Amino acid sequence: MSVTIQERQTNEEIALDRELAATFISDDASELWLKTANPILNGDAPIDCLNRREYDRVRAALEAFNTGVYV
Amino acid sequence: MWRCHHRSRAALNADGSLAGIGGRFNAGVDSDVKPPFRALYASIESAAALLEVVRHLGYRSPDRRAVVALDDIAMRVLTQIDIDLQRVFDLRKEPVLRENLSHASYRQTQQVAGAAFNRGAEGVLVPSATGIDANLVLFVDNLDDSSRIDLLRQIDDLNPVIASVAQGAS
Repeated sequence: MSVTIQERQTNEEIALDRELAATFISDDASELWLKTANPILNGDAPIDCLNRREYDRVRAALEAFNTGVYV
Repeated sequence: MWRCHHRSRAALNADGSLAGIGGRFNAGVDSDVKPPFRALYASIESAAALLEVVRHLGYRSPDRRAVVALDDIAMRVLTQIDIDLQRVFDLRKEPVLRENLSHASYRQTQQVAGAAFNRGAEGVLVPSATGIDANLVLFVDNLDDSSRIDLLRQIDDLNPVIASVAQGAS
């Protein structure tokens, strides 16, 4: 069964939403993290990466945050 | 030494450090500093380990009057680890780090750390961006066979630590 690009993007967004929900309890903290320039992303804000559909970059930055990387 | 990490992640998991351009003292896969190398970030003081994370959850210094997102800290744990290493480089007096860490660029801090990594350091002692004591950044891929990192205990309820940090800041 083939997966369309649109379906794959939707799946990526769902997976990332789950990760964000598991990382942050409050919407405020999640929003702050998404909108703040992130050194790991070379100064990009995660939300800008999401707008460019760079899901892997955001997932990696989230993993760095969750594993306790100092930035 | 103390580590602060999400409760769903293993305390000694350093894989996340390779993300993007990497952490403050290690080069990630997208960094200009080569080669990329993994690092495990720890702090001498538990408060520093906590604040290194908290400051990305909405924390601001008391004079800026922002609020710590306490609910989100509840997703974190503090793990105390006992470390016995053979080659730790003390970079706290390194000129680029000594003045003010916030003025040092990522390229600078990663270059300093990369030079230590390439010389075989198992870890580096560096100033903490929180201003509390120092951090130890462990280069897990350089660990000697005789070196060891042991888990001592994990603190799941961070409220007492937060209270003590808040008391110290007031």
